[in-house]
Amino acid sequence: MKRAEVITLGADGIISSELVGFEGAACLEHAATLAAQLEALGVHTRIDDLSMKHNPAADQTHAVSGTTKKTVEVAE
Amino acid sequence: MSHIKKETVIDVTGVAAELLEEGLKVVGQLLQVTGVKVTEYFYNFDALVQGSTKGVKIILGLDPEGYGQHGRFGGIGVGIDASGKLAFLGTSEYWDGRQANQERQSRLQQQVERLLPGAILLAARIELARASGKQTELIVNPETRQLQLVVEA
Repeated sequence: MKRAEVITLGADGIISSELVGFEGAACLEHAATLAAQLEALGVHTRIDDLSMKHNPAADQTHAVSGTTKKTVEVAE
Repeated sequence: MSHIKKETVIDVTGVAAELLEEGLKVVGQLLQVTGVKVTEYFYNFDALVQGSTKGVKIILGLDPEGYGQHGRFGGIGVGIDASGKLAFLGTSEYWDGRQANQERQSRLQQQVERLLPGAILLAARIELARASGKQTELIVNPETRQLQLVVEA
């Protein structure tokens, strides 16, 4: 699957992103790399939550669609 | 498989003027879907103001209706001052004194300030993607009143 990130900014100013095509640690590495690049531009961010979203069609062990929450702490 | 990331922009005070300008343009796109009239000008008491004025480069005009001397809301100018910082025009030097207009101006400024950090993040992501030769697409969704940036990762 081709990797992509869909970043959504709402009228309330809240930002959420969906990262598609990342497996395991690659997702964390991507987030960490981006945070460093943004810092270099003067944009300081904090990741509040990073959750794995299962696709039931692709994962037979999950009978019910759902989200497994895993909070990741990122040092400021 | 995909992941959902929730993110907060803590501080953007150190960004370059060019990135601030791009962020303001993103703010303009988002404000448009919330019903704000977004232009490149606003009005003072007797003239249309566009380009640069009072040392401020005007990036957005918000909700300009007409000349202030006729009691109409002149809108506000949102721009970048000589030191590269965010600046608002249309305040005391242009305002016609009506409380309703003052409150309207204050609401618009608050909207810009609330949206700007996230908008700068989107602008920064576009800049980073372009620098590494990756594709981006900015989608305006009027129904959900959201902007979506798709970045090849």
